Amino acid sequence: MVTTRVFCTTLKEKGFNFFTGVPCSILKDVIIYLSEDPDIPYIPATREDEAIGIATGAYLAGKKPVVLMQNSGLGNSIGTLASLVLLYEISLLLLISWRGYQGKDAPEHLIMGKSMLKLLEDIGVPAQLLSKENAEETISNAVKIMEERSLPTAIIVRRGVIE
Amino acid sequence: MKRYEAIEVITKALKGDELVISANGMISRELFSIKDSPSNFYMLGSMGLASSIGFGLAFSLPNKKVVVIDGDGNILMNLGSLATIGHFAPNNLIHFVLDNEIHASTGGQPTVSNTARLEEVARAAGFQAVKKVSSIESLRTVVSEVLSSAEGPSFVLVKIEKGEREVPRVSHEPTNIKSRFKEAIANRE
Repeated sequence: MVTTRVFCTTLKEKGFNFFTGVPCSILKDVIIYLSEDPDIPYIPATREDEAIGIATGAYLAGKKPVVLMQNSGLGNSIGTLASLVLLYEISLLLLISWRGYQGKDAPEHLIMGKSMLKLLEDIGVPAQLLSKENAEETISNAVKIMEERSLPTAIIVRRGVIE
Repeated sequence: MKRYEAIEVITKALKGDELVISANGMISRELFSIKDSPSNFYMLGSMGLASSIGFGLAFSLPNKKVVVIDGDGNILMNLGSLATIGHFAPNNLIHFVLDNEIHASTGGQPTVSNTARLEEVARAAGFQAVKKVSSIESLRTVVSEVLSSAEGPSFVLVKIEKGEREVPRVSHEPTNIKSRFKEAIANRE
């Protein structure tokens, strides 16, 4: 099991020090935890693309940012990922919740749920699936991708993995 | 006042230690042609996000002045950014909106900024200093005021005339724009 505390502490230990995003019920406790942490900022953005813009500014300032969003917000973000983050090689960590996983969810989540991984792959954002056993390894891999390849990278979170 | 003249007034007033984020399209191109600098971040794509990038930067570097040179079409795409900036209210952020009431870079299609009062939106969102100018002289006065003021965030709506100069595209590679901008920050610390 990955607890919210262990997950967030691991992110901080790996150097992530700036958080922004738009909520999802799957990421609810993570966002509450980060918002209450006095050591790091969590900036609630109005849209996912705004969050990516804010994170890009923080990155330019030398921070190591994380953008949290539901996969529905990935749709709002594709243009920004393509014409800002990938274009300038801005290393951001995207923490994306997976609504519509295995086709079992509210109807508004099914199409994005099915296409999310393909969309990320198509535009060239490496993605890893978080599991209860691999949290630290997944975060370490993300850091490696960001540092060695100057890429943004995504960690995909299904319901129930972070408790 | 044309956009080119407005950008000239702003860049001439800069003291040299500010960080500048410019919106995509003609604003970045004219800034590049007037005064290229490593401390300019030319946002080539991601329309709407110049103010968000500027906010992330200003929030993270509270001792640096951050100047955003934005357009009406740009800010209308991301009005939520004004709410976020107003809420966190970094006093080191200065947001210029050059407002010609059209999408000039794509051929002059009208925006709705002839009716939407952007300065009132900024004020309602929580910007501490809000100005509206439409002449070169008043812009000159306001620019020097906001650059030296400790009060902020500032929002300056600059009403400009339509029309641009023939200027080249920004010739730097995007990754070079980024790396020299980061170096410019590091060199000033």
